[in-house]
Amino acid sequence: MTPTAPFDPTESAAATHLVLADGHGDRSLWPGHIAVPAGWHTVHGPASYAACLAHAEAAGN
Amino acid sequence: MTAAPAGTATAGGAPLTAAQSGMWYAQALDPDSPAQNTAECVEIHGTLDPARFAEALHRTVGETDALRVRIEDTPAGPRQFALEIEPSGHGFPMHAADLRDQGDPDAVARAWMRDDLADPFDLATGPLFRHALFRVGERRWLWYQRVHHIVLDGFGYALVARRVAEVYSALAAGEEAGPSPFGRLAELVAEDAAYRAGEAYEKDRAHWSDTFADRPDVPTLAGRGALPSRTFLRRTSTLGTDVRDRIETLAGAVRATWPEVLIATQALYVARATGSAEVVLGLPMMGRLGSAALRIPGMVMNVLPLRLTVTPQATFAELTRQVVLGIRAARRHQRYRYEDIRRDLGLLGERRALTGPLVNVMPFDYALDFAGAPCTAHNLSAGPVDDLTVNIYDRGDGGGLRIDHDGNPALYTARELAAHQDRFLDLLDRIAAADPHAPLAVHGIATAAERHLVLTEFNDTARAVPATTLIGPVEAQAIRTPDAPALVHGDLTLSYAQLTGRANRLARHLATLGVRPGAVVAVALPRSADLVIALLAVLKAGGAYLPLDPDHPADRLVGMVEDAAPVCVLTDVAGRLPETGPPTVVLDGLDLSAHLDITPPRALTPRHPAYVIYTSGSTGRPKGVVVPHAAIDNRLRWMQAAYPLTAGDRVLQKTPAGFDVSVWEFFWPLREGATLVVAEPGGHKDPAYLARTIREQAVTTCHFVPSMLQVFLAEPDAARCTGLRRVFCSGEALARETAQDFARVLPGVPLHNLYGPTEAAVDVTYHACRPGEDGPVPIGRPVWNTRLYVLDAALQPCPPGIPGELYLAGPQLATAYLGRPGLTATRFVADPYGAPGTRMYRTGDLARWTADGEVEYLGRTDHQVKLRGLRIELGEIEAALAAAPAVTGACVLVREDRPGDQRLVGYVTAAHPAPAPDPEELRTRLAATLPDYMVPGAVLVLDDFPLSPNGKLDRGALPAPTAVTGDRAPRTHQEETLARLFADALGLPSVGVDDGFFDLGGTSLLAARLVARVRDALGTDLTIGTLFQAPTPAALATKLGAGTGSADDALGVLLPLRPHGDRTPLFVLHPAGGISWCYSGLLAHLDAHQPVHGLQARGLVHDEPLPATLEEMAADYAGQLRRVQPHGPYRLLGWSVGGVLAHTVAVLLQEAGERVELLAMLDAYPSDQWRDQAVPGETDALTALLRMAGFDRTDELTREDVLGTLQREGSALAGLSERTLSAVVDIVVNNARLMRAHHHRVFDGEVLFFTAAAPRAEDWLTHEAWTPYVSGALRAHEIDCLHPQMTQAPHLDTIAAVLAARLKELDG
Repeated sequence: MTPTAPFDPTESAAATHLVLADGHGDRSLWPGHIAVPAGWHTVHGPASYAACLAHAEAAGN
Repeated sequence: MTAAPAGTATAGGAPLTAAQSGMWYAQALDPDSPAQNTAECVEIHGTLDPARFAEALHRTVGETDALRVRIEDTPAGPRQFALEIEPSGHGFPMHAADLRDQGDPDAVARAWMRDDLADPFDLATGPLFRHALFRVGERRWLWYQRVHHIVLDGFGYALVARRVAEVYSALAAGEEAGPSPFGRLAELVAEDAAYRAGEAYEKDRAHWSDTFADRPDVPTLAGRGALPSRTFLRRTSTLGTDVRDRIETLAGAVRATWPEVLIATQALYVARATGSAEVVLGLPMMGRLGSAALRIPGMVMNVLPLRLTVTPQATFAELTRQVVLGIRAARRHQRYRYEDIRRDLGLLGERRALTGPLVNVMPFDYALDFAGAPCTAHNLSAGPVDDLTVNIYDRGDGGGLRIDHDGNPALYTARELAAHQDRFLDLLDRIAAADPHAPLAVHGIATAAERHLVLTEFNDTARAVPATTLIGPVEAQAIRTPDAPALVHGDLTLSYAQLTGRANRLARHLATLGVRPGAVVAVALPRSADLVIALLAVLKAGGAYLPLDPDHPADRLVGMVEDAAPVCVLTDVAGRLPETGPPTVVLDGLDLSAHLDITPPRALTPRHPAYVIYTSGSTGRPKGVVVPHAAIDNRLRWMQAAYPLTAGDRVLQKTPAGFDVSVWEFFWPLREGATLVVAEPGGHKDPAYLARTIREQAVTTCHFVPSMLQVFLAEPDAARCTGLRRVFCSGEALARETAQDFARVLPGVPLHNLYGPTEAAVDVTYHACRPGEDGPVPIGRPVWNTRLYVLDAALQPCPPGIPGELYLAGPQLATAYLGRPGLTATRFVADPYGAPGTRMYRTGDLARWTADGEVEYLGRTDHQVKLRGLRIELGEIEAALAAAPAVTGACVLVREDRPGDQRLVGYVTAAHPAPAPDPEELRTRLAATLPDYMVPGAVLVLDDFPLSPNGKLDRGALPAPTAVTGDRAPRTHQEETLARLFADALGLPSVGVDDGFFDLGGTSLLAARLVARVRDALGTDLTIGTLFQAPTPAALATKLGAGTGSADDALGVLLPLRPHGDRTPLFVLHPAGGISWCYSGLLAHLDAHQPVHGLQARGLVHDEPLPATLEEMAADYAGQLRRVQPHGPYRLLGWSVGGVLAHTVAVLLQEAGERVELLAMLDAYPSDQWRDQAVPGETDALTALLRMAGFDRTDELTREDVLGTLQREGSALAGLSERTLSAVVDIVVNNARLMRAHHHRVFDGEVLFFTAAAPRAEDWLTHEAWTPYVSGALRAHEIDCLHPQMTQAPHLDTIAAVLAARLKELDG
């Protein structure tokens, strides 16, 4: 069976993910095809998984 | 009715078509099964003439030769023969009844049909159909037909029904019905044969082999397979015309047909319900397009696999497109049989399925009338159901769509089947109302009611808690009960005042070093009172503690210190850790007298971090989990409310501080006025120590990782730990067997199963185990203020019973991974179901809800594993292996080659042409950076990794490691016994005396079993701790003090095989060679309290004159055994010459007035039978010596050759000195001489006799020869082996079992 977990890393360059932020400075990676939960807003993307991860890493430091 | 030689099926009969063959074999496998009965019931509304109906039916059947056959197995395979059918009333299989006078005519008719459906057809006699016509009202009739699927499919049913109606209507109108529209069976058979011989067949085969070349795993809703049952479960619903209209509109919008929309919907349902993007549905196809079969009512249908990829990103329109194209491709190759595809792919042998659920759309026009009387048709059985079939009927009668979910009752309950149907229809309804160009992620499979249940009702955990910290309640408690005992460690007891006073002084010292809220302090101390004081001090100063396990490799600890950058490192003695950046505070000798013993001031809030615990990281770097005070405070407040501790409770602290279970062990009792009992370092691995501590320290509360609980329960003293009031399990899946063992060993002690990751403050779910329950132990319900979500690939909630990934939300979530914001953002993600702006933690665990709101743990979604409760990212080990020079690729997995025996195994590939890496060097390298439990027990160097057809690593094809064992042979009987027990426990053919138990893959679970076996076999007091200290047979033998290095100790006249025990001793007498070690295999099978003593020949150790008569020898032995047991009753056993000796000793004892209650002989024969045989010489003696060791002599000529064989085969006898071996040869020769000269007297009693029953050269030997020398019965048991094999497993095991039963009788 092929798992399709929405947060699994992909090596694809396709713009599949977003980076969300809440009001407390938390960041969340987020799959682009799923509605953004209330209280969060997009701060980066849609972009590739790797680009989103890099953005979240940089934003937190 | 008689078999007719005429017709298309000639005298020799016609062959079956390929379609029929599969069904024939299925029926042959279970001839009495009615599973292949198909049946329909046609309800006719109006006036009907039953006689005319019967006539129409008979005529139609007469036109349908494919139906009129019987099928017999012949030497040429199964063939079908034509049957002559008698007219109605003269044997035609039709039942007619007028039920109008019955109370409920329909119910009576249905009951009759149900009974009839349970009746299997006899293929060999036929006929293979049966009809009934019931009148259930003035103007209502039920026409029932049952047909074996081998002669008719769904399309054929429709053809038959249409023709019957046509003929009836013609007869009613007084007209001729016109010529039969039906084709002949012979056409089907010919077409089938032509296809199979033609080009299209090969092309079709290639198409299907290509499409399924990678042999995909096929998800099913049940998640497992089963053989077809004889019956099926059915849930029926009707889709109203309004929904159907909407589906048709949607179908038009996406350029598809309504059946394709239904198939796409089922694919989406299966993908989400199974967590698999790859779905294979089975599509029954009528298989008649462009074929003569369009006119033939027969069995033609085929099931074809439809392979689809369903992702949440794709739209419904795209999914439907896949379905349309997939069906189009399948149609082009639809004549190739399902059974043939399975065979081509090699799935038959593995009993693997080709498809998941079937979707069977039957748009067969039933808009019939019988001379104006309209009808509606209902299917009663559509044939065997392997897994789950969705039958969709469009009868063309304007009544909407009927949908039957048929399930194999071996796989689905009625409730599960109904749930699958309800959700499918609900999903269909929502899809019909939604934008087909939106991502499929917008659709979940749960109904609205199920969503509410799993999101809201199951998570109703809100509970107001005060805003406190981990440490605040400890300090409050110390003020309430300053003099109560807070901590016990060995002889040391500290009161609350003493404990907090010391911690306060240290906290004040730490504050001077800069420790304050938000700061991290590393604590590297072994388990001790000082460890507890240090942790309290860090928290009191406002800091967060970072536990460093002193047993872990220094490199790993240094890595953590560098990562976490603590303000300082607290340790007990200098030099534990290499000097790194932060200052080290050494407690040993630290003078704190300048500091006050009162709580230091600090600005600590619940949001500040309380501790940082590192867990294994998949990228090769451990990650620090930062847990805030509010999180752990919520956890401990819930725990106190759920399991109230009182001042009298004593909680055992045995979990290493680096494992977060230790957090509640340390702080829960101190917050509640109970006492913390600190175990010795390393004590958590020793069940005997734990049992003793729990008893002596009156422990009421403790925790076990389930695998350690299993080990603990195997400890005899565990049952005496009756002071326990509650035991907690967590860390890995708790097996039901372990819970049941617990209830047996400690009845009345509650056992609680908890679950949670470090990222959510220890535990987030709880479940109380109850004796008598079965099935998997749930991880349970959410704790206070905690919500659990089981979500599918689209983050939609899974309904109860459907597996998904477990997500956690609530205040117990950790703050972050220390210094890893990217990683944090991928694991702590936005919560779509919580309050706005909140997070949820993605566990990576697979789970499902039960119907009543508990969660069951099902495994991992990734490569993280739990081994003996410890969390391991295989990626971290793989990264460490891959970093080694010359390694090009690495893979690590947990193997379970023996049930219950999980072990880590590493695999590497090497760069060519560099020399291959040495597995031991790799392990040593890993041990320098990884804790013990993360170092694979074996590393295998491979040329290449095995790949699956689609190029992925095929983990299942990685080889199991074969243990390489040493070759030093045992020197003593203890060593031999231990080596054999080691080998048994490890499942290896042999184990060398210097091989380490744990090196060979031993686990603590196996160790527990081994220790129990050793205790039974040798009657010695042994703990697992001893095994850890002495892990080889040689070392353990030394440790047990019995065999201190020299074989000579085991060559005395008396050999204490098991010296202790309260039963009457058993004396075993040596065979020809004079040594009794061969009986050690008896020990494991006899009662552990049964002492066993061997009697051995004189002359083995020192030069002594050999006995001159057998009588003299026996008298000597009688004297020896009386030293052990002065008076009877005696128990004697002997093999070969030993049996003759046992008889002689028994007679002597009886003559001395003693009672002998057992005389057992293993393949021993009286002197009379040997007297005329030549006395053996040196050569025969060597043969006998080899036999003693259990070998047949082949080409060994000299004593040296024999010695070589013994050494090569690892026999204990190989350890004997040259002198002793020479003595053995002399003893063999002497014994043979004495035995021939001996004259037996009569033993008064019965004899337990074991015959080596395999054919042998000395065929004159018979136990009957003892008859003159035994007054009682000779109870003979035949053992299927040769004489030399009698003392080897498994033959000795068989003997021991009989012997044990007899000894038990004697023990009364």
